Amino acid sequence: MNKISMSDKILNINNENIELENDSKVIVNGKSKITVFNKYPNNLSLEVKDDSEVLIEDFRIIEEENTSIKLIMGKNSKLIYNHSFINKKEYNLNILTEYQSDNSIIKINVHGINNNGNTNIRIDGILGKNVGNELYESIRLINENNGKATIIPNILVDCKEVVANHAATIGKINENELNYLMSKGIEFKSARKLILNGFIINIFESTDLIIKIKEILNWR
Amino acid sequence: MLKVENLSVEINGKEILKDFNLNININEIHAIMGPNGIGKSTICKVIMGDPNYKVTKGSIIFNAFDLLKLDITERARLGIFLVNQSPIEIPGVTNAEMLRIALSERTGKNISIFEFNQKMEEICKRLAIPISFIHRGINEGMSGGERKKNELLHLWMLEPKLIILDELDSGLDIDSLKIVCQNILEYQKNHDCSILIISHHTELLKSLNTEYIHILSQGKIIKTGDLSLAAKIEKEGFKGFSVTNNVSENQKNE
Ligand SMILES: Nc1ncnc2c1ncn2[C@@H]1O[C@H](COP(=O)(O)OP(=O)(O)OP(=O)(O)O)[C@@H](O)[C@H]1O
Ligand SMILES: [Mg+2]
Repeated sequence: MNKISMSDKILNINNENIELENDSKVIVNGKSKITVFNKYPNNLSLEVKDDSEVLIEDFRIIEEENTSIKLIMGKNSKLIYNHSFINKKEYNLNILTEYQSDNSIIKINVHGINNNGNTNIRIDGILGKNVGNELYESIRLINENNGKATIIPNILVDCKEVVANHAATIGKINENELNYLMSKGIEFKSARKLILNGFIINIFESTDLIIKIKEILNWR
Repeated sequence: MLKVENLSVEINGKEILKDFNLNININEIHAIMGPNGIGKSTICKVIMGDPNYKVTKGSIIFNAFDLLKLDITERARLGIFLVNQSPIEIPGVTNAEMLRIALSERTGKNISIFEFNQKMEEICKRLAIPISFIHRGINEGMSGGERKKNELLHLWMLEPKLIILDELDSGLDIDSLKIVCQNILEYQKNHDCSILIISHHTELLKSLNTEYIHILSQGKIIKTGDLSLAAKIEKEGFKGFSVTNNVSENQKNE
């Protein structure tokens, strides 16, 4: 995997696996994969070219971040953005999706834990007049300790032949899950840790990334 | 082994059990039958220690321990094991991860990975489930029947002394039901343990050699018999037993 760290440069990737560390503008061709592991590309613009496909897997531990992610889709393109985070202080995340043509799919999955942190997510989807596009947004946030969160979704559609789905939940750790694990003889503290870890890694496909995340997670 | 005495239980202010009594000795197999919503799952969850249920009266003693003073973890470590009517999934937490922690916390020792894996693989074969289940998220994306088998994987690893099976047969096809029953009987043959079964089906109770059948009504057991009682209920329903669903309604009538 190539480690990329540069500013204000346009990065062309073609059937590649890259790891992003800084603000970037990326143009995707072919079938590519982008990983972010506890680095902060806070201004990320991504253009997926016609007939291209990209999987983005993004994990961050947040102290104080303002992050803007722009996803621009060409014709017959596909994008999956899996993002999980642990927020200890303040996280403002804006995601903008834009379809420039027809028949493209975007799937956005966000799992966040506000461990004393405050998270504000704004997610805008512009589908316009183009046909055959699909947008799936699923955001789940867990508030721990004094965590807080807001989610503001916005979907603009000017055409019937599209699918647009937004699902969001903000809540506490699931008590039934805690009770279940305790009923196997696991202590409350370990049960909580298992559930939070599971929640964070659960949305990722890459086993390498999952292993790396598990190594650094440590709950208080 | 298990002695429940004069137990009254509420959920959200509604009384579900009232002066409920049940005695299970070591190596005995008991079943509770009763119509939907009568409080069968409530009994199971209260014994396990689900904090959503409020015990207003009575006691539950398990091998001389007062369960009402213990939390869920402590009860599990005494050897109580519940297979829920519909086991939930815990995404991202694998069977192996959960069981390793459960075992190492219980024994205070590190688990030998080699022996652990070997044992897990043997159990998977015994339950006719793929070995890949070992590293799958707990019940994650599993069908109803697969979940029940997955719970039995936990059972074999954790080696409980009191097994509570809440509608074990729901979700299981005939072949799976056979495998599951064989597994439970085999486990019981090799361990000193007792079983409490909730079921609507005589066939299951028969194949698990159930000795005592109890009928639950108005928050308590109103009749106890053997398998012939189960057969009678399956044929005629609960009509002949003046079974009432609601504890408070019954109080009004009294
Ligand atoms: N969380 C809850 N809040 C309010 N009422 C509840 C709750 N959980 C259970 N009950 C009520 O308690 C009663 C007993 O429920 P329980 O699940 O024990 O029944 P059951 O005998 O197991 O029924 P089934 O055969 O359908 O499984 C029911 O009337 C049910 O609606
Ligand atoms: Mg029930």
